[in-house]
Amino acid sequence: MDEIKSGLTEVVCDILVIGGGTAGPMAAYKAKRHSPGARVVLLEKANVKRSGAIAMGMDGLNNAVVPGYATPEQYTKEITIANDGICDQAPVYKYASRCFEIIQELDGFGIKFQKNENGDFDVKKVHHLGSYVLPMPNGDTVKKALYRQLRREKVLISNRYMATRLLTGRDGQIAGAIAVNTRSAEFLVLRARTVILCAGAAGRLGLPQSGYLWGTYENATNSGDGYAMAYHAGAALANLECYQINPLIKDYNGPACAYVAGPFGAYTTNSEGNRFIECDYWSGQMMQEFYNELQSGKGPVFLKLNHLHSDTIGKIEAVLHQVERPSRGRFHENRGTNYRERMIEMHISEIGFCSGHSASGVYVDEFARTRCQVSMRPAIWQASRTITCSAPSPTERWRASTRRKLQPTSTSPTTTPPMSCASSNACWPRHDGRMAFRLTSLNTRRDAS
Amino acid sequence: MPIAHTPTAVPVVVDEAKCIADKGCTVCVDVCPLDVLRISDLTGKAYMKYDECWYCMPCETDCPTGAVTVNIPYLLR
Repeated sequence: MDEIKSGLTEVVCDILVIGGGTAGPMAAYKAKRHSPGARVVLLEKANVKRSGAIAMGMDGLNNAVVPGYATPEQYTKEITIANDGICDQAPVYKYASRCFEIIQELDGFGIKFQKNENGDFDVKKVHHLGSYVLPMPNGDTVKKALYRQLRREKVLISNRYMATRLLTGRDGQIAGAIAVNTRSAEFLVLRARTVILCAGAAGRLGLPQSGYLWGTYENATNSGDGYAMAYHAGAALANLECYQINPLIKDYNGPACAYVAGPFGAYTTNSEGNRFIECDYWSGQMMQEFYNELQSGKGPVFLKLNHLHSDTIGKIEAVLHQVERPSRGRFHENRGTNYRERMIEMHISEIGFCSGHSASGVYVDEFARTRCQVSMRPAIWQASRTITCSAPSPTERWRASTRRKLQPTSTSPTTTPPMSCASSNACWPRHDGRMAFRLTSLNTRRDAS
Repeated sequence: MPIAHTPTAVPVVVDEAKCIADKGCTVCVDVCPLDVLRISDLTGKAYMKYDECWYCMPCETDCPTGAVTVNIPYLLR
């Protein structure tokens, strides 16, 4: 369903959403709902049906701020502590304040969150202070549900186009993007009044210990392209010193995952069978505890489930081996390891960026606005701005699409910018004719056929 | 990007007897987030062209005929 037909070199739209993982579809959906007449284009380097860090699904939302369980203030404090203070509290607080309404909305999409016998959301405690982990029993339907909404709202979807640069106007405002077709290497220029950047973090920052370069812990398609584009366009980056190392199953490139198993009674242990981690939620402190234990004589470190009843383990397996990273079941099968028999050895991942846990990435204020220059001109470009949504990686449990919800633009974006705006703009790529952008000799991935 | 020319153990294995790519199906190619699958000109069946699997498994899950299997050879060694 590629709405952007091949051969086209320029697209004009009101709102361009870059990234079709989780945050992007949500942003595009919200934009279209807010301004039904607007031309909203969703750009994705894979296929929106199955793309982004949670292409398969998501086994839980680990930052659910549900009234009765937690408050936005408490959540903001929690994240500030977990990140050793490396976090911008305003956007985190904004996310937390608006989280519940979005959970309800997603629930209405058919993404059923776990509920208790009273019909209330069944939030579990994993973090230091409060309870924010909301399991998603049918989390494998997330992408399908989002895709359904996009189709219903008639958002234009452009698959297999990867944005490579944001285009800026003379005043530094974002005016669109350049994208390249990942199969044909054709260029596409997208002119937009508003750009919402929803690219993921940088999952392939570190080398996986398996030596297999695509066996990264974080989603390998999170290439950090969004960060780079924003940086080149003049936006600020924030909190990248809060990078991540995660506990994982040794030799398997997926989460261990204490968030799922913990509420059932599983825990992380050293070789003596003793707990050594104060709290399983990701934090600098937790990783320090993990590292210390590995370096001490008490390593290696294990995920302990073998004290649990077989049925309980079955429930954990039903989530861990089916929803988010189904290949994990296959890994254990081939390794001959079974949670019921003995503890499963764990290790630590390579470093990576995960915008959710570490609240890092492109700097945004509480309205998800970047620090790209704000226009002083009263013209049509006033509406232009970038808004950033961070896409979640497998470990971050859905913070993204809910945290940085699209804010209404200042004007109703129903008309397209006149050509004169672009052609008078020095920073637009020069083009005499559309064919100028058809560069097909690039040394990128191409089909032999 | 390395192109797999020589026979090697790649993660995604397609059962050519079950694959219906020659009848126009492109589901596995479409849903792969890393875009590593292609339809072979030779056989008309799907195969793993680029050896860059993340073991996420939409190809196996979404295949209408159950022709696709994702192995995880590298991580098992």
